[in-house]
Amino acid sequence: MIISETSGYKNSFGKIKKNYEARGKLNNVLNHIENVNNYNDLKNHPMSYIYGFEELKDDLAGFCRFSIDKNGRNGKLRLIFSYSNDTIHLEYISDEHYTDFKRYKRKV
Amino acid sequence: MKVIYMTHVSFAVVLKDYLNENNISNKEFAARIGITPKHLIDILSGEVELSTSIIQSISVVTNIPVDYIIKFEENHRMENEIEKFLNEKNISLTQYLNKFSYRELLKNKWIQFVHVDDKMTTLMDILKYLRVSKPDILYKLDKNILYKSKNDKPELLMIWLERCYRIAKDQKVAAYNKDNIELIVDYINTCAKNGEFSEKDLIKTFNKYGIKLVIQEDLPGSKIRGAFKVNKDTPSIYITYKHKRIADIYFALLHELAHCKSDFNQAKASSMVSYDDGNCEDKADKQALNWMVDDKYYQDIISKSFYDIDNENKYPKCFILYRLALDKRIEFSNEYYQLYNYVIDSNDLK
Repeated sequence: MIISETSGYKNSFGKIKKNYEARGKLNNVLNHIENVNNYNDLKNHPMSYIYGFEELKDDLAGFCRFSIDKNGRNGKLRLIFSYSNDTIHLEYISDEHYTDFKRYKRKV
Repeated sequence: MKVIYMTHVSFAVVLKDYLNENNISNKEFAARIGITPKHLIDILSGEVELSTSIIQSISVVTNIPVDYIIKFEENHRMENEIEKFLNEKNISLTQYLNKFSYRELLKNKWIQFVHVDDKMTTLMDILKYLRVSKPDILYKLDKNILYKSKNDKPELLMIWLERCYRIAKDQKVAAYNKDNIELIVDYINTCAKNGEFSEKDLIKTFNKYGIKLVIQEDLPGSKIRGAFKVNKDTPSIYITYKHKRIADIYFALLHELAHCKSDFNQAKASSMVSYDDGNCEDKADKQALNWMVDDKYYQDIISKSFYDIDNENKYPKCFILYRLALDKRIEFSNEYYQLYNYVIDSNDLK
């Protein structure tokens, strides 16, 4: 699938800049996204299950996540993304159980 | 914050994640896919590549699609080849991407880029568009191009040729007959006489007479003017919008048509490329100019002390003025040159 990086994603990348393991895991997830054919494949792919794919609900409906690392600075690290027109938009890297992402969305 | 470029890992890396998360031992997995544990360890450590039969077995056992595994392996291999190439040439990824005017490619959308923010993936997309599995192959293909310019930039040329090839592929043409070339020349002369230029109608006419035609903007920094090639007995002419004046574009077309007439067999083996850098291809130029205005008629004009272009009826005025300017008998700023060899409206260009 096509991948686009939002400014939110680029700005939050600093959370994992020095976390070698998380960067490795993120790298594998990005490879995975690149190599699936469409969103339906992504949803149902065995490796999506392995990488902790979940469609988020409630006030984060429309967003999805992959798990990157259990040991972030402030908690579990998650890659938050959205999907439209055959493109995966990398939205944010969250380490505060989405609170940081919600805060970021309110500011934008 | 600058994001670090992603690395295209082999499928072995992903398989390790699969086995770890599912708590499957190497011994069990090796047994299920029909190989020895040692062989699996070699695969997981990157010592050996995946064979087709092992990929298929893995797909059956894990329910991971075969094409997904193949893409991983192909991307990983391509990235290794690119890194090897860049090291050998002592050039950075960005420097190499710039040779393809990649920023322009991001704008013009010739290529669908998978991950525009990642330069390695961007370069891989360019190579895939060019239908090569590694950069070295490009320069071997480049050896098949005739009439090279000292100003040529093979990367820009290959991208443009590929773009034209992909557009030409969709054109349906009648069987080619060399005798029809004169009919095309007559058509061009009639259009030029009437001061007409329609890309759509030109393509239709060329196709009707068995020739594929593509008029396609080239990339900034290239001096390509046109190209002629033959695929399975069907000739293809590609020209750029290098010059936007009516006679200049028709001259570029007639030049390539001249190649079609005299170099058909040679063009089966090689692409013939023309550049706008002063290097003449005399034979094709002479034929094109003669088609535009008969040489004898032109000699009569230049031998006269006075010539009234406004009363010219036999040949297109723009063609006569084009030849006069080319021979430096008039300036390009000449009012008649500017009037009759007008700049084509961008609406007439696709």
